[in-house]
Amino acid sequence: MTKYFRRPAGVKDYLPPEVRKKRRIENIMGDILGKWGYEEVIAPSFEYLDTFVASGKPGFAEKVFKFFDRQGGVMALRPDITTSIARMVATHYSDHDTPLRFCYMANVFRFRELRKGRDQEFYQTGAELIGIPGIEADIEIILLASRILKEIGIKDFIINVGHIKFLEGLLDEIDDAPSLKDKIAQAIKDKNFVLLESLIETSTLKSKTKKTFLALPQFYGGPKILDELIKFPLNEKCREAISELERLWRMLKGFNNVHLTFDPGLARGMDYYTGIVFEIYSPQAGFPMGGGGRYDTLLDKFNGSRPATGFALTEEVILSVLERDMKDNYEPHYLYYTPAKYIEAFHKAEEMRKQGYTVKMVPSTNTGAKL
Amino acid sequence: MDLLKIALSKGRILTETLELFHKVDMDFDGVSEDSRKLFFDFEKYCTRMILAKPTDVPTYVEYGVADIGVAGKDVLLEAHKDVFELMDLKLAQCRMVVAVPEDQPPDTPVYRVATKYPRIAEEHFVKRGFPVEIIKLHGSVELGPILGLSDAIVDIVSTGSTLKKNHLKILEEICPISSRLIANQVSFRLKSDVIMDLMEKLKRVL
Repeated sequence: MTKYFRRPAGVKDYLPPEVRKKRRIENIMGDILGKWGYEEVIAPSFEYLDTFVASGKPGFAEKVFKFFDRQGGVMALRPDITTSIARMVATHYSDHDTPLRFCYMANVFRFRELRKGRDQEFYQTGAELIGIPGIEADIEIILLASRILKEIGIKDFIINVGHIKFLEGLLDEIDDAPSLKDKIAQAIKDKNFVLLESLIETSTLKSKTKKTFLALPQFYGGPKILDELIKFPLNEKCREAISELERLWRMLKGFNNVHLTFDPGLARGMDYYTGIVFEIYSPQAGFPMGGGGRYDTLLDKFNGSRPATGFALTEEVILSVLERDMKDNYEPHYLYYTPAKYIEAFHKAEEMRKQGYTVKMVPSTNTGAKL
Repeated sequence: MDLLKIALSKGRILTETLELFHKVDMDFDGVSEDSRKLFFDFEKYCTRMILAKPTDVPTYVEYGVADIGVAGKDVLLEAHKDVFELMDLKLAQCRMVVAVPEDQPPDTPVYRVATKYPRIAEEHFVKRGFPVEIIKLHGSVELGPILGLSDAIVDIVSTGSTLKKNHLKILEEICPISSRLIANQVSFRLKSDVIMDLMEKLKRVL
């Protein structure tokens, strides 16, 4: 009986034409990252589950691929690279006090049983800027991500900026009802406005708090939205977050080719973020091309308290946007030889390679065969 | 200008959806299942209407080939797609229920449940603290208890007449169900003006 081999769902074969496209954008990205002073690191493919989990909330462990080592310790394939970099910095750079800049291009793994057809292994290119608490670090990260996208040929994209402190400030208003707070936080994260509305309306919150929560779906748009927002009865934490977003806008508005929108209710997939966060959208893709933000407390966990911010771009989404315009210009030369004269042919091939040609040697008995 | 792509569920709910759009002065004449066309462009409203199987609507929206869509809450609960749930359109209102044979005495334990909604059924019974065996069927789930395949069913009920005809009664209600306006996460940001505007209009007539 014939045995058929299947590929697991959510992983992908990259054949040469795709790899060439992937490497082409990676070379451009690597070049820019290098010039901006970001040094490449390679993180281990797997770490102890604990390394990743304490940075995540309940439910997170279900999203990672787990296995046991020989001592029975639980290991996990990396679901992101940022956590490993945080651990590396805490371990190897504990006495550095100048800012650190690292970048990576690596595959990550996330278990997505619920969503067949979406990749469970995907490639991220990212950068981390560690040691600068000021807003200029967030600005550098946003400008770097935009520069990279532009250089690889993506013209049309917007960067949607939010602030975790704004969400936290809003949720502080419902501190006295922890279970409601969790439900509301989840509804905001999923952008389930129907659920949010029913949770708020049936709650016993103060009417001004209700009003703010119910208006949340409208808290999205250009920089004008920040002026609108400040009119709401918000607490100090929310106001600080908005004023930080305003400062970000004032410093970035001079850059004509950076299109910002604001969404203070933006929550990201990983939950180690603590400040400004952002996602990047293209009209040609249904999923964000990338995102990032500030994670000032992630390093605390590895005993190396340092402020930090960073971003990651998802190569699959970027390639899907670029696909239509990207041509594969691979043009090898085929050198046919008769086996008796192989050595002679080999020297000829070497000569051509020295001149810069790509040369493949093919036995001439194969002439006419499909290449 | 880029068209706003709206995925609509085919079937019973299509007429109700089109009526709702009619109320906000958007007449999508000719959108019908009788036509062999699967999508319809209306330059006048900058809109493309896509007709899809109800269970496929969230998929089109998740991948962004449709910007927004109209999908039943039952489908959304079962599919767990990564889409934004913007509004309750209050169309096709019904309930998700557990039903058992009429003559079943109270407090009879349920061991096997037949349903089109295995995930909703499983989550419900897990919350109740007793795991049950779920049997997935694709239609006529009422047959389950009649033929002795299951002790109970989980299904949507609007008037309850189908249940009655098959000698079943509602044991408990799981949740109310209605149609929701959903959006793709990227489209919701990139086309927020048009989508917010549509939501405002719809809100006024609901």
